Amino acid sequence: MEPRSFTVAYAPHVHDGSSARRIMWTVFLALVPAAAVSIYAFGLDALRVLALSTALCVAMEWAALLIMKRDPKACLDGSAALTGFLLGLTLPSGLSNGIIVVGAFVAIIVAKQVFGGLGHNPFNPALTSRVFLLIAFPKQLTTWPVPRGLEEIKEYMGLAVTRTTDAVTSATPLGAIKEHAQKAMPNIQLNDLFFGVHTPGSIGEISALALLVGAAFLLYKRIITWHIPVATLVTVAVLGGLTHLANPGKYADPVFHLFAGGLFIGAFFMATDYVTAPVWPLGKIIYGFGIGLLTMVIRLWGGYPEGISFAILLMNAVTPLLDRYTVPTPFGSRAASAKAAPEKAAHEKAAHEKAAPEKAGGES
Amino acid sequence: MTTQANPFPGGIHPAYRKDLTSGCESQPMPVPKLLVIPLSQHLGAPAKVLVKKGDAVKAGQLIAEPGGFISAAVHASSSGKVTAIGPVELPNGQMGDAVTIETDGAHEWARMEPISDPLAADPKVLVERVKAAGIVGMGGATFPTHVKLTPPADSPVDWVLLNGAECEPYLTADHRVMVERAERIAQGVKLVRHVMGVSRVSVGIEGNKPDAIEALRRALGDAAEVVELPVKYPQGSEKQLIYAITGRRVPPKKLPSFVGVTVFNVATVAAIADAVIDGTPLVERVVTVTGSGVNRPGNFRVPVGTRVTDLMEFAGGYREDAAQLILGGPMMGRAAASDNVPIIKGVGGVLVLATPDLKDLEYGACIRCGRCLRACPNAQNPMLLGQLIEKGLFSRIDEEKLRELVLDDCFECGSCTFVCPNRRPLVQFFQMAKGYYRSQQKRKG
Amino acid sequence: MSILIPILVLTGVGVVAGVALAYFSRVFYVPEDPRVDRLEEILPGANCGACGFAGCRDYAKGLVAKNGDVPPCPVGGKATAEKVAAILGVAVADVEDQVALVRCAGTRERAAARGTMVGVRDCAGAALLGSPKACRFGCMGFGDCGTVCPTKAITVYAGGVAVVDADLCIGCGLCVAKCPIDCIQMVPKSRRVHVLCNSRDPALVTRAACKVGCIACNLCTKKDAAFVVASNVATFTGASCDPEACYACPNDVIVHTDRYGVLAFIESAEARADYEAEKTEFKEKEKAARAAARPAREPKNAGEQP
Repeated sequence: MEPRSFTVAYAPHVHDGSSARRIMWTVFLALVPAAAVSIYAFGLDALRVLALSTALCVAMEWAALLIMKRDPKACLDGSAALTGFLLGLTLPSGLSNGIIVVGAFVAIIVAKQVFGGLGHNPFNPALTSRVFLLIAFPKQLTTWPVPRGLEEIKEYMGLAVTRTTDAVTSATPLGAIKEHAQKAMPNIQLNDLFFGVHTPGSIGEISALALLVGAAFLLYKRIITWHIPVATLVTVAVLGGLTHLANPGKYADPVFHLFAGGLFIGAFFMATDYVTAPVWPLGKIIYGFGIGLLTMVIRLWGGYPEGISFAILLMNAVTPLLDRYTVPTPFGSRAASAKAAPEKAAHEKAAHEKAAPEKAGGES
Repeated sequence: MTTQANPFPGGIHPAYRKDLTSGCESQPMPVPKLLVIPLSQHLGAPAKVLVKKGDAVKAGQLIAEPGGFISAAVHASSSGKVTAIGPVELPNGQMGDAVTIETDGAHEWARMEPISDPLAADPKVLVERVKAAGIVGMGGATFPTHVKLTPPADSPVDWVLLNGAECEPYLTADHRVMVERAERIAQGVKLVRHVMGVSRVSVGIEGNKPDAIEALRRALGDAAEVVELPVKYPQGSEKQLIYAITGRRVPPKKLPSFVGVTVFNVATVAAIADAVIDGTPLVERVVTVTGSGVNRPGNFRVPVGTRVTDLMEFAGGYREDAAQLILGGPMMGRAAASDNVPIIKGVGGVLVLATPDLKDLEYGACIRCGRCLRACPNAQNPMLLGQLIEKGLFSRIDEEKLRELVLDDCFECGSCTFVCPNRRPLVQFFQMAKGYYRSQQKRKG
Repeated sequence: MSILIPILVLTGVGVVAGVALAYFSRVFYVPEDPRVDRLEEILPGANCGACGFAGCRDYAKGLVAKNGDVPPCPVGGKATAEKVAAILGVAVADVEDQVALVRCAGTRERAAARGTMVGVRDCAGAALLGSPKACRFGCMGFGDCGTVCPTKAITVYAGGVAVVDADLCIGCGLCVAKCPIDCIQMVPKSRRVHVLCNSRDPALVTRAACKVGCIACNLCTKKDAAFVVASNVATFTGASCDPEACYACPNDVIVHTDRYGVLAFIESAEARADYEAEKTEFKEKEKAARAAARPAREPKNAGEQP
C-alpha cells in the first residue's frame, strides 16, 4: 500500500464539546424566566429596555473590535449580548433610550474593551455601567414604574406614590424600608417579593422565584458552582437575622432581605461571572462572604437602599488577591509529602528489617 | 486483602469507544516484507548498532547494544538481510537512525537460552536477562526495565504495582494482554517479586475491564492482589495510580521509588516472563487499530519495526474520509504526517480519525471559567500558566513560581485542554514553555 | 481686594516649592559619569537588547562600568565601535556590520509539504510537531522572526517563507535567536552572494523535499573558492564573486544581489524567469565556446578502417 499523508495537529485530538458560546447562551436562557415575569409586570417598556440594551452592547463590541483591528465577528460569541441583557435587567423599565446608549458604551467600551476585551476586564461590565448610570443619572435610575395592577393605588408599602402624566412611580421595597422603616415594615408582603409580579423594582430583580428557577438550571448544567451564591446568601441571612433580633422595629427580617432587591440576581448571575470572580473554592467562599457583608452594610447603614452592585464591584477588586492566596496544595506537593514522610520512615524501617533476616538466614 | 482505591483530584471522562475493539482477540500479523527498527525506542541514549549493511540476521538476534547506563538493546524482529542503516521519521515526529531489514519470510529464530528454575536464580542473572532482552516500559514511557528493577540503595522499594489501567480512550491493547496472557503475567509477577525482593504486589485495573480483572484474579491467586480502579482519565498516570492503590503521594520531580513504589505496565511484565522463561527478546507487541477512519478495528500482535502502512494493509485499510493518524491514544498520542513510520516498542495504538471527528481548532481568549483547574489531576493552575505563556510573560511565571509548582510536574495528560470551552491549546503552551526554559538552561550552562 | 490674599498665598506656595525643588535637586544629586551621556548620544538608540543590556542607556552604563569590556553593539557596527573607543580611550572592538539572512527559498510551490498542518499559529508551535515542510531545515513560514524584529525588517510573503529587507535590518540578531530551526544567519552587510538553503540532509533527501535545495554537488566550489561545502550545504564566505559563477548551481540556489534582490529572487516569478533566461543564454555561450575550442575532426574516408 502506498504511504498516505494525514492532517497533523496538536494533542489531545478529542474535546468534550463545550464552547464558550454555548455557556453564554445557557446563561441567557436561565435569565429568560425573570425577564418574562418583568415583561408581564411592566409591559412592553421592559422589553424595549432589554432588547435595546442587548443590541447596543453587541453593536458597541462590533465597533470596538473593528477599531482594534480584531475579528469583528467575535461580537457574536454571546458575551456582549449577555452583558447587555444583564445590564438591562438592572435598569428601571421606564428608562429613556439615550441613557441606555450611554450605559452600553460604558459597559462594553470602558469596562471591557479598554482592558483588553474578553477575559481581561477586572470589574463586572454590566455592574460598572449600572453604577455609573446611577451616579450620573440618579433621578432617572431611581424612578420605578409601578407594575401591572397597581396603577390605581395611593400608597405602596406605606409611602405615597408619585403620579405624573406619563407614569405612576413608587419606591421599591428596599427603598421604602430605607426611607421610612416604621411605616414600611408592617406592609411587607413576602409573597409579593417571592413571585414578583406586583413588586416595583429593576427589570431583573422583582421575581425571586423566576431567578431561583434560572439559578437551579445553571447549577444543574454546572455553569456555576454553589460556593459564591451560598456564601453570599448565608452571610446576608445571618447578618439580617442578627440585626433583626437586635432591633425588629428598625431592621427587617432576613427573609425579606433575601427576597427583596437585587440579591438573587446579584448572587447567582453577577457575582458568579467567570472573568471577575476568583477561581479557587476557598477564594470563592471568601468572595461571597465579602459581598454579603458589604451588601448588608450598605443596605442597613449606607446611603443607598440597595448595595449589591457596589459590593460586587468592591469584591471584584479583591479577586486577584484571593486568587493568589487561596491556591490549594497541588497533588504531591511538599506539604502533602510531609504527611507521607512518617509512612516512608515506617516502610524504610520495614525494608531494613526485611533485609537483615535475609542476610542472616542466607538463601531464601 | 483488597485495597480501596483513593480518588485523585480532577480528571475527565471522555467518550471511551473501547467497545470497538475490547472484545477482539489479538490477531497475529504475518511478518511484513520490510522492517524498520529504530535504534532509539526508549528513554535514554540510543542503542549502538552492531550490524552493518548486507548482514544477515535472525529473528531475536541482537542488532544494537545499550548505548549507556540508561539505554536498551534492540533486536531484529524477524530473519532477513540488513538493507540500510540511516535516518527515518520516528512516531514522535523527529528523525532517528534505524536499521532497515528486508525479511526473507522464513522467520528463523535465534533465541536466548531459557533460564530454568528462575525463582531460584540469582536476581542479578534475571536482571541481566531483562537487559539482554531489550525490555522497556511498554505503556509508552519506554523506560529501560532493567534499570527500574534495580532501584538505588537510598530508595528501597517495598511495593510493586502493575499498571493495567489503560485509561486512554479507544485503546484496548493492555486489556487484551491481560485477558489472553493472564498466566504469563502471573509468571512475570513472581519473577519481579523475586528480583526486587518485595512482599506486596498489586495490579490496578480500571472497572471497565471486568473480564481482565477476573482473568488476572484467577491467574494470580495469592501472588498479588487485583485492585479495581474507578474509570477516570488519567487513572493510568504513574503518580495518580500510586496514590489510588497505596495512598502515597510522590512529590514533584521525584521518582516513585522515593516513596518505595515501582510501577510496571502489564505488557512489560509479560515480556519479562517471555525473556526469562522462553528466551524471547522484546520483538513483538499488541497494537490496537481503531477509530472512525479504519475499515475493521481490531487488536493485532505486531512485530516491532512494522510500518504503519503495512499494518493498515493487513488490518483492512483506511476508510475514504480518514484524515488523522494518531500513534498512541487520542489524549497524548502524536499525529503522524504519513503512515510511513514504524511501530516501536512503546506504541500501543494506531488511531485513525475520519474528517467529521476532527477537533475544531479555532481558539479564543481565556474566560477564566476554571474548568481546567477542576480537570487537572495534579490540582494545579493551567489557566494562569497558559495565559502568561501565550503572552510571553516568562519573568512573571518565574515570580509566581508557576514553573516549579506547575510546569515541572505537568505530564501533559491533556485534561485541561480537553475541557477548555475556548479550545485553548494549553498542552502546547506548556510544551513551548518547557522548550524555552530548556534552551535558557543550555544558554547559561 | 479680597483677591489679593489668594494671589499672595499661591505666590508664596510657588516660591517655597521652587526653592525647595532647587535645594533638593542639589542634595539628592546622583553623580553620574558624564561619559554615560556622551556614549548614549552616539549609540544607535534602537533599544533592541541585542547587546544583552536593557536598552542603549543601560549599555552605556555597562560600557563605562566595565571600561569597554562588553560585547560590541551589533546594530551600530564599526562606526559606533570607533566612536565608543574614542570616548572611552580603549581599543576599537572588532565588529563588522551585519544583517540577517533567512537561508531558505523553499516557497509553497517549490517545497514538498509534510502532511497537512492545522491549528498552528507560530513557528515555536510548529517545531513541536515537526515542520510543515518535508525539509526540516527550511523556513516554516509562521513569522515568529517578524514579531520580534524591532524595525519590521522581516516579512513572510505570499510564498510562505520569511525574507529580510537588508535596508531595514539593523543587525540586532533577535530573529536568529527566535528561529527554532536556526534557519536565519547573520551575514556581513558587504556580502553580495548568498546560498539560499539551510538543509543538512543528504542530496537524495533534499532533492525529494525541495526543488531549490542545495544538494552539495560542489559545482559552485569549483567556480570560486569562497564557496565552502560543509554538512551537505554550501555557504558563500567571501564578499562577492563573478555573477556567472552562480549559474553553476543546478538547482538555482545561489543569488547574487547585484543582479537580483533576495526578495525578488524568492517571490517574483518574473525575476525567476529572467534568471532562467540569463542562465540558459550563458550555458549556450559556454557550450558554443567549448565546441569552438575543440580541434576540428577529419572527415572519414570511405572504406578506411577506423
